[in-house]
Amino acid sequence: MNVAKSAQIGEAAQPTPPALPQPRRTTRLIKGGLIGLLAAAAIALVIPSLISGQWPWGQPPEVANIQPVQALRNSGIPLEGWQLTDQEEVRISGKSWSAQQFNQGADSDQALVLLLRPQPWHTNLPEVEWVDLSGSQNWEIRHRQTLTIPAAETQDAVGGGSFRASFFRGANDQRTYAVLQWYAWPGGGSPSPGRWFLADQWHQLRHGDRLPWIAVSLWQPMAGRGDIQPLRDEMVAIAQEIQTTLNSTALLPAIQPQRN
Amino acid sequence: MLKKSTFTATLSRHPLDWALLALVGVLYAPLLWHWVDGWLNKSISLQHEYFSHGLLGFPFAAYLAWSFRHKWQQLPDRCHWLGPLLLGLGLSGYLSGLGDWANLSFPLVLAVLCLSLKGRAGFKLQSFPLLLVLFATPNQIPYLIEPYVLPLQRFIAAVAGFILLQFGVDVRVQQIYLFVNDQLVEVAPHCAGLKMLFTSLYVGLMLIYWVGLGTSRLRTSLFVVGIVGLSIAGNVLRNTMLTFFHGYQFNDAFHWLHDSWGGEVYSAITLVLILYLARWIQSHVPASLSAFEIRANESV
Repeated sequence: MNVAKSAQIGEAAQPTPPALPQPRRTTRLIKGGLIGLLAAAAIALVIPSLISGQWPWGQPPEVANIQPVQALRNSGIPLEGWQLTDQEEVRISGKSWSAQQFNQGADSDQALVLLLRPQPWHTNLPEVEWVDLSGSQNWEIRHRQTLTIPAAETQDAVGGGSFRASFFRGANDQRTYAVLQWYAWPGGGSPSPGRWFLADQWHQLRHGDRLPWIAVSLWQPMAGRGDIQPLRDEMVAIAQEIQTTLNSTALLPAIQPQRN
Repeated sequence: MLKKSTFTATLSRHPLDWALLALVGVLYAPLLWHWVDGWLNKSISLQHEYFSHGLLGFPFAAYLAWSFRHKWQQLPDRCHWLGPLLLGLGLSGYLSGLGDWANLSFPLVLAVLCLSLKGRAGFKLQSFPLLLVLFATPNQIPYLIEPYVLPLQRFIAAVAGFILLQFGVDVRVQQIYLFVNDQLVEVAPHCAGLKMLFTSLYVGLMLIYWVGLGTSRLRTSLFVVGIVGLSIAGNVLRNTMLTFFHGYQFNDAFHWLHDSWGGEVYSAITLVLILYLARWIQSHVPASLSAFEIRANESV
């Protein structure tokens, strides 16, 4: 085999501008400084880890108080002004969701479907929830938009914050729905896993543990292949309520573990 | 006896350099061991697996960096201001112990050493080994690009379904799902062949340097396009076979190709084909189009 060293990569660059050579004392000083800092890092991390046998990267960060989040799978959440007619745990594409059905009362045929997928374990990340849902329902998706929903007015300082949600019409041969979905986390939300990732990194740097997440998908049945705009305000109001409820119940212990 | 005295002689000639190397080793050997253990035992996460080409890349990068040491010593000592600045960033990442930050501190600290000891020239000299280390450092980029892989998943499902149809298999394709005999196969993001694509591109990078394709942009771009095409074609074939096995209940064959050493066979075949592609490009593709035109004119 020819070992042809690439001409651009291997060559040393010409020193520009013509500079005085660095005095040996400075070189020694720099090397000494580097050695000192690296040694300090070694003492700070390597020695305690060798003694205890536990390395920080061997234990990935966990969600503080994950049980309330996981419990949502079996309980769902209440919605004000709507009657819960059914709640059960369903499996979609091999993943567990809490499926709830609401009615607005006996005399109205307004219905609502709320699907929640709380993260099953500390290490789970928001990934393909939306693809799973639209795949299992075999939806044709139209009029997709991203809404920025401000926090509800009654929000207190804890968990207050606007969030983003994806709004679209999903239709198959049997039914058509206006769908609003997002990943909810303490104090925010977004349909994009990348946004959760950023929020989680920031949370890890500040608190050292993981940011919990719950996938929320809200469906409102509608007449086939119509416009979803008339349904927007109502669904946004319900979404605000959902986010507030989640922030003050399941997601609350994650950011305030000291509160009882 | 002679070897021992040469070693101690080198040690006494460059005590500070050896001390630096030793300290970097002390800091990062446990972390690197953690990565290697995760790659060999598949015990960390799917995202971590995307970087298993580090098993090849790190020794190669170390070999290259070591082979540059004479040129390195000839460079004048210089400290680039970025060096000490980034060192703080790198060490705090390392000390935080948090996943990506600790991982990425490794290439960062190595780069800092180059900048602080030999300045910009030193960094340029070692830029290729540093690049190899960077591209093999586990991070969460495979996770972040998942939402964007959907078109590729659909494409693979569609082509796999088409191929199966040509063989007379009763298959129905729905977005990223394939139905054969009412058995469902989902082309998930991790089945879209991204891991093999990353590994292939990385091995391609190593080959570009080793075989010397890097001097010609025509050859390099053709090689990269070839790798991507080969990777996608291979993955389509793999998904076709998996769907076939699952549809006709050849569960052992499915398990072999999907979970067991069938995957390794697939990877090995792909990498051998990439090696042949590199050789072929080196012998049959001119260094640039102008050379091609000159040859064409000459033959006329």
